[in-house]
Amino acid sequence: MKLFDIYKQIKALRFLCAMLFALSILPAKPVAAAEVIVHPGVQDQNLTVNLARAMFGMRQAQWSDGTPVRVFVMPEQYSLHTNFCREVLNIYPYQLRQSWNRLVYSGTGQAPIEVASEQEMVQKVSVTPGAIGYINKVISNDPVRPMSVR
Amino acid sequence: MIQSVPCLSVNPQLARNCVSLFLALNCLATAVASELSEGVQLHGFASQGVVLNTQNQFAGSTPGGAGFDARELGVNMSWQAKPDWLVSGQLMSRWAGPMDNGALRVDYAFVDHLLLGNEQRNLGVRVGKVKNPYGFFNMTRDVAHTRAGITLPQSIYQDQIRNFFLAAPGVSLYGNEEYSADLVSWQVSVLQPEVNSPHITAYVVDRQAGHFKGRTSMLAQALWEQDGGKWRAGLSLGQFGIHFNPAPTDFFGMGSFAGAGDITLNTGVVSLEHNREEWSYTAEYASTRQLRNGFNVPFMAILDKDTTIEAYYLQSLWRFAPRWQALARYDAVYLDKQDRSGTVFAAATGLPAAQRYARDVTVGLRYEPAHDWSLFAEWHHVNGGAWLSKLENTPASLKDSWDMLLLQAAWHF
Repeated sequence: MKLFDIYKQIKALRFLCAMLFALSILPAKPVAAAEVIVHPGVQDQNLTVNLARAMFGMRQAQWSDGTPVRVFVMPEQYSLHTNFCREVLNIYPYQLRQSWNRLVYSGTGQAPIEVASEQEMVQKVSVTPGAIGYINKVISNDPVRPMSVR
Repeated sequence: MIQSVPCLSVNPQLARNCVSLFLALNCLATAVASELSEGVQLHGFASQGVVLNTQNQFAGSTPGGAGFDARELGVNMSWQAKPDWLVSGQLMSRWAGPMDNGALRVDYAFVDHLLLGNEQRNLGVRVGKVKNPYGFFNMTRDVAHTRAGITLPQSIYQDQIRNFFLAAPGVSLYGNEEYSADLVSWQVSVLQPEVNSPHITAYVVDRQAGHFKGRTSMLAQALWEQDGGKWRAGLSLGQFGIHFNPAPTDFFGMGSFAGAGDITLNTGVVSLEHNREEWSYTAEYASTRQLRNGFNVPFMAILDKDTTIEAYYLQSLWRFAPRWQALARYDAVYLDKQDRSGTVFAAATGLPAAQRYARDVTVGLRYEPAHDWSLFAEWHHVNGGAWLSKLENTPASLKDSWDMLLLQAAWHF
């Protein structure tokens, strides 16, 4: 009887291990993309990750031709914002929020402008000279220009 | 929450004012978001705390009872007139029992001009009342949602001498240097500390009648960030000078026993932080050499004794679920590095040794029901009372071992 119990337990353990293994090899959830967009009048053709971090971290106030940078972001709870932070800037969303807070509540800088949807992002970036933001995927007739970040 | 502040049973008028101010700010924030017009932003914050102590007093609490007199309100405005010109100012009001009475004050107000700005380098100057960069957290110490817990580690960010370190009129030169994956930012300030507060007088010369005046002082900070802030390190160095003017002797011969003394504080903080997805680890170590002379009180030779204050803490934060965060911290301060137990001090003065040290173990929880709200709860077990205000805790009543439970609701826009 005792032996039978042990056998049952081993079977249960094997089943658990098999389940865990199966879970681990399931195809990973497709990673949602995030693309940086700018106002069509922006002259710069691409950004380094560092410069993109400086712009979204509100430390870089001007484009190379002197146009003021205007930063647009989505609320932190949106997955697009999280994906953008992780994939494009390679930082955690809470770090970006902490940098903004340090600037805003010590008076040494300003916060980016928050928009509520991708449509609003595209609309604001398309009409604001010097604007930079991000959306899931730029499509051909969007009135904004994609900006590569490397 | 703020609306139901039972505190305010202490002072109903104050309660009504607070609630009205909070509601007005809330409406204003909803109406304007944060950008009033291009380049003009408005932000603010409000918090209400509850303090429960077993022994000793902190921020208006009484042993065994709840204190509701811990409150912070602030509103700031900034105007980016041009990419290289920024004007900003913040008004704030803070209550903390007898340590702070809610008086409205200018927290900072300055003009910032960027002298040089390109992709690699920024260099600028700030003129006016500027927040003092001291350690990682001094610049935003009164804004609840920027803190890991309800209180900052009191060893380094002591509330009773906060005005001394908080902000000061002066001129600052600052800059950023961007390297391939690193950022170095720095600020050097020449300033005039604001030290005329009864808490600082009590802390520094133990209730002698008179007042302090700041002498021209220096503060410098350099911060390094690797790979977007995965590692952060900082060094803050300052030399602060203050001068004591004793109260003149009155008709009855009463006044200060102390002479016109001078104190120079040579202070430094080393800061280190490591940020991961779920965990953040922070450690800071501060050493402050206090040089004192000229007080000449025969029965309090301690007032002219040079000492080195040593303070440090280790903290870890765990973001264990969305909207939730847990905090654990060990925090220690010794007002005289050569006499950590305070026994030499106690023998020389007859005052409690516990006035000279504090070791604080803190655990806390934070929940964010919405992006602009934070609810905190935190428990402290403390040995010593070095960072307790002498205005709240008389030497006779000071207890060495005590516990404190803090609750706080905070909102910002």
